[in-house]
Amino acid sequence: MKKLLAVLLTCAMVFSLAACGADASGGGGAASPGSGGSGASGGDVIKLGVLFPYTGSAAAVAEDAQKGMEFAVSEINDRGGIASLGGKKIELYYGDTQSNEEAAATEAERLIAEVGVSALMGCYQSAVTASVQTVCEKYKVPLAITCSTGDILTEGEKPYSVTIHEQNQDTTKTHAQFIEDMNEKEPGCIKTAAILYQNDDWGQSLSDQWKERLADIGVEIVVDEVFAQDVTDLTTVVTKLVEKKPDVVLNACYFQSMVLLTQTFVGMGYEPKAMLCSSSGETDNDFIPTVGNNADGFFTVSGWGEDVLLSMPDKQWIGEEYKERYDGEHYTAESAAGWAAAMVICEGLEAAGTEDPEALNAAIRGLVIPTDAWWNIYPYEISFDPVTGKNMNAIPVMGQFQDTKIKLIYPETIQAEGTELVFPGSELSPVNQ
Amino acid sequence: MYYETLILGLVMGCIYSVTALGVNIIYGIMQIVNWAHGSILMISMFIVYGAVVLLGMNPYLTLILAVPIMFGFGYAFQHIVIRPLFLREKADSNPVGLLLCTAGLGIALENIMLMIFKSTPRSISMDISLTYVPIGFGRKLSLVKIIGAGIAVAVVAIVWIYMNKTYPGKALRATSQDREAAQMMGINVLQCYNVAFGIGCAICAVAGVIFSTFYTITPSVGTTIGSKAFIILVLGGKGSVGGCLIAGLIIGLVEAFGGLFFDSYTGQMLCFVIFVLMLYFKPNGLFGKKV
Repeated sequence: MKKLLAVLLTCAMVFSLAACGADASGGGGAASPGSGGSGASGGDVIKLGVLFPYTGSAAAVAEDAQKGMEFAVSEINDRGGIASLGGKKIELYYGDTQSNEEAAATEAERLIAEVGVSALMGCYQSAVTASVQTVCEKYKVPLAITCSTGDILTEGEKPYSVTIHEQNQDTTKTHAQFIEDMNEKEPGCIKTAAILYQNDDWGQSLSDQWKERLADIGVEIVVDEVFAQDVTDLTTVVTKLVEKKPDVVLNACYFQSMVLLTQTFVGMGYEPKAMLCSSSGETDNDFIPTVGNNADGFFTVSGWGEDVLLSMPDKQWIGEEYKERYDGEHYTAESAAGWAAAMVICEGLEAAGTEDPEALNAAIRGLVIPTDAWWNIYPYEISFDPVTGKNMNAIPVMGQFQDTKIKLIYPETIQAEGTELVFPGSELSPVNQ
Repeated sequence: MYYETLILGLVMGCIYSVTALGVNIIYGIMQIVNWAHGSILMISMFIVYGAVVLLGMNPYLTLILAVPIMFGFGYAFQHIVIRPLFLREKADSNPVGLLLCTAGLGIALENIMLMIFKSTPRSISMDISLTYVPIGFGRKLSLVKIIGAGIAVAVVAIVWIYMNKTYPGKALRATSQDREAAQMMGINVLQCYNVAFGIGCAICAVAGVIFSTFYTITPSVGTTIGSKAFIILVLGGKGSVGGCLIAGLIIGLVEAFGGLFFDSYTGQMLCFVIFVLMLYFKPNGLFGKKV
């Protein structure tokens, strides 16, 4: 009996591992409902690879981006697939980066060499994406960078990758511009700043740029705090903020630490004039359900916000259908990034008329997607720099959490009717109520 | 600021010590490193979440549910899976199978939970979740963390009394000191191991309840929280209940003051520096028995 139980338990463990492996690393093709395809299989499909962290402490971060990709693929397949390839359907194949450079490179090689994908998308953390970028260059396979904003990804010659949305340098530029504008409206209102960031390439790169840009506009940094992704308490960090009283807090936090920071702010009654976030943890679909209205007043720089669709009446169906498809979940900036990455590759396939990765790469880099293209949810044209692969038209916008929603408020030209910037942002925060 | 940091360090230290106590008891008595420790803690957090959401229980009251469930799980796992491996490998000076077994359990539990619950973060909201209470000198600290520290100290005290003042506890200690001699004195060693693993998992459940009141619950949360347990295990000394508490407090204080004098990341890094130094200069820990 005991032996039987032991065998059963072992089988259960093996089964669970196998099942997870399939889900995260290859088996989850278009045939599964969650992966967004039509159910086509075999040689009649075009294989695209998706690399995100599915295990480890950052397992939740790319869920929205993946949903955006699946939604896009489903949409393309429902519209008849890739016309120039005889209506071939798209299938997604997944790889788990584990938030680790080596694991990501191994998974990228597996998807390219074993599965035979025509292009890759991913990978969230910039350092991980950089590792995959190298693999793509080695195998000459295009990579549509998704949700990674580290500037290292677009520095120098990057012949096999493209970035569609904003990068860090655009984010910090917008932060600095916002502070300058606030100071212009109310002279001297922002004199000091705190910078809080995760200790990785993304965070370090933002921190370096903040230091440079804030010095340029004469804002003194009074708190400079770096923390690990698995931090369990941020009381000491907030204590420093309470002591030094910076006018503005610039932060680069993933989901877990963003939640922790928000709750510690409220608990300790801390209220900066402006809390400027960097399009990461605070844009996660689970952020608002977790912190409720405690983030009201925070600002977020984002390549996209749901409000953008308000100015695009013919594209509002995208947000609505996404919501219907994913049980009422909002179409976030990360969903938009995933959607756009998949759509760019599909456009590339359409233009190339072949699945050959090199030809596909050339076609993608030559794309010019106008603002009014049926799927372009960005308020700018998508076209790529021939050397770096960066979309030179990408301009981030700034939103503010108001009544548990992100309202686009900056620059003023993108404000929806009836929406206005509240400054200091803490006036909206429950701390003050 | 120093006073607040001191109290914060002590509070977090108490919580860290109970996180490590389970793995410490198991290692101290059975000489088995329970690599599934973090995953068991994560399962406990999900039990708390389930009890709060489905049964409307107060998170602290879920202790009466989570502790027996995890004790039963630990007892059964040791009896059914670890015991046969242990009997097979007990003459082996390097029992790799046992190590892999607990590591495998940890991976399996994390992935099973990922499959069932996905990676969506969950959190428990209480009326006191965002309450910070005065701790003197005009300073405030999170109430749920203070309550967590109180529970942690109580658990450490209960475990210490159990191990030192009761017959079953003394039997467990005797087993850890000399397995064969204990057996000759009529102690059922294998039964003791079942109880020890059960107690280790039950203590993990307590840590799970404490963390779930202020930390986001995800299938990978065990890896995040569990890593400090092994630092405390090495620092406090294997099998020492008091050492575990003191080591937890040291780690809490190092992290808090490291965060204050440098930054939060350096504070965490210093804990690992202590870990390496301890392994080098005092491998048996501050209160561990010499091997």
